[in-house]
Amino acid sequence: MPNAKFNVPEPKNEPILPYGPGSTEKSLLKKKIEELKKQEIEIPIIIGGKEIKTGDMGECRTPHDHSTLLGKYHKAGKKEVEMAIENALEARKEWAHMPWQERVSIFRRMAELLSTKYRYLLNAATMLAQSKNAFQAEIDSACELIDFFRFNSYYAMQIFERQPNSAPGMWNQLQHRPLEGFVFAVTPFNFTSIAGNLPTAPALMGNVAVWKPASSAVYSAYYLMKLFKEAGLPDGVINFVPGSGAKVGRPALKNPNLAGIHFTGSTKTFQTMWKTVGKNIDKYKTYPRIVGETGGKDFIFAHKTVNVDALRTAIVRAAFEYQGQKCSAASRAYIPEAVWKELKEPLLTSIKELKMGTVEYFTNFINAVIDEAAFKSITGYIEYVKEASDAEILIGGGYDDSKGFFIEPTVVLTDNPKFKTMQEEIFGPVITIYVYEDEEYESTLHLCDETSPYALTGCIMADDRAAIIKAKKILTNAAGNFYINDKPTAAVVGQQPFGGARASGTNDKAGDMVNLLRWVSPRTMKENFNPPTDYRYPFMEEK
Amino acid sequence: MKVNKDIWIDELLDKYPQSQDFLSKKGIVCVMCGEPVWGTLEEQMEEKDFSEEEMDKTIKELNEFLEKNKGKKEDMSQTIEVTKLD
Repeated sequence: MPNAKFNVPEPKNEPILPYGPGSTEKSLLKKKIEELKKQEIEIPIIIGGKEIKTGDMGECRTPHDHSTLLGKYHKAGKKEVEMAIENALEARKEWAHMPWQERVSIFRRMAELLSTKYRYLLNAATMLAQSKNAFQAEIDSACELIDFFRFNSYYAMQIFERQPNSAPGMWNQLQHRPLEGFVFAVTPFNFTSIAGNLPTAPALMGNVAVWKPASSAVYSAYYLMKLFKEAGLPDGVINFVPGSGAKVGRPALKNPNLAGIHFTGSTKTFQTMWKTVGKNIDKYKTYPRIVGETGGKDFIFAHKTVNVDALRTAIVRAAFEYQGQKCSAASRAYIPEAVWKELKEPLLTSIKELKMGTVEYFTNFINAVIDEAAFKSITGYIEYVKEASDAEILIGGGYDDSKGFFIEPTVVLTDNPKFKTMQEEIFGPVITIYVYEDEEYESTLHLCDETSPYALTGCIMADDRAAIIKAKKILTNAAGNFYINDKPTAAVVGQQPFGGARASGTNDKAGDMVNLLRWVSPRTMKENFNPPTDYRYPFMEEK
Repeated sequence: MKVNKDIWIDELLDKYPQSQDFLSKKGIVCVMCGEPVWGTLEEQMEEKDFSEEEMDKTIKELNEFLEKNKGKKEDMSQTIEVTKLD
């Protein structure tokens, strides 16, 4: 009997644990890493809460030491996807009607469990399976995902609170119905938090999901399923179907009950999904909501009044943290000539200091890229630069896959502002620098705006306010997340809602109310307490 | 013939990772954002407006390339500094 108007407490961002020398958290994390490395787990498909095994197996290996096998997973095919959809629709009957505050309780419990019991498990799993260092794992699989759960819960309440006005004698109500069907969540390897958020954000709003995690991140995704279960998420609300993208994707996308897509990944795959939806548009019971965050060619733009140390730090962190595999990673920089003279040597010195290796050695800043395919793709760009006449490698350019997929942090210098690596997304530890003449600030801003099809993140670094104003204006549509005197990475839930437009996605800002609104279909209801009993209006009277 | 045009891109990369470089030189992108693109090899070639003839030729050349490099591990290692766990 919910005779109460419920209020979700206003959330605060989860504090980041520092993992300093001798700290309890460092010791617990190291212990968990050792524990996970000793096991080799078997990961099933999970449909309606039941474990399904197909025998068609994939492997989970550590990218920084590919001889270490963490587990094997069963791959789903068409049959399992159809089973998952059926189970999701069955679960929807109860879940969509569960009082919203009960659903919120489940997600707030997920946040608490992740903040405590699951923190080191998820961080260790992310470190091992996705080759993130302790800090990168902490801000991702712990803090950001906890924030998603807490902030989404709060925003859901705010959405439900908003009601229309009512004239005397009637009551207008707005009800935010879950979508009629299932949401297909397809998640990337690079953020465990996004893997957790894409199926759960729609679920919080009363939807059910079929979730295909990235094949290179099935390991941490499986532990998320355990977290969801322990927090009390009913069976069938989120169904876990790892497997080949197209094999899982095709039957899901062609199903008449597809009500939404929640995607993070490549522009090309997103476009393939959208085209499939377009081709099947007459088959769906409702128009699917399509939400996607895709690629980026994120920039750092410096003005001649920039603080050079701040610029150097921004380049090193934004280009090379997590080996440049963040959607927001800086991969092109525009530097004025006068600044470049001051910046070049200190920048190269800083990069020389970066240690690269296993995540288990906490002094390493750089770890491995995710897998062999990514390694080949990134090194293909490096080889292209080595052959080019209009670009040179200033530092880095080396790579080695004998033990793990290691690529040196690489700085390319070009005098061609439209050089291949100034335009295309590389998704690796490679940044290309274009040095412009100090007086060509404005025209170079236009160049930055027009060089790449993407528009995810970018920053302007300058002390001069007029220069900042000019950059904000010219680069209005060049980034969905625009930073002033800060690096273009590390958006925080509740502070910098994340997403971009153009080829970078639908800009539906993950972890924000804007995103949650995509997962509901409002119903307006008008109740008249005193309905008219005569069809005639007063204007019809003449006396 | 090892590979035909109906093969999924992720399966192709799993079985024959060296295909990626070969196809990249033909303008066919197999990996974006660190993940294999969705779809079959035929669909990727169609996107690049390959004619039927060009598709058949590419498949033939790819198979010849794979046959020639059978059992060979591409040397992707260089001397770079990787810190080891003590």
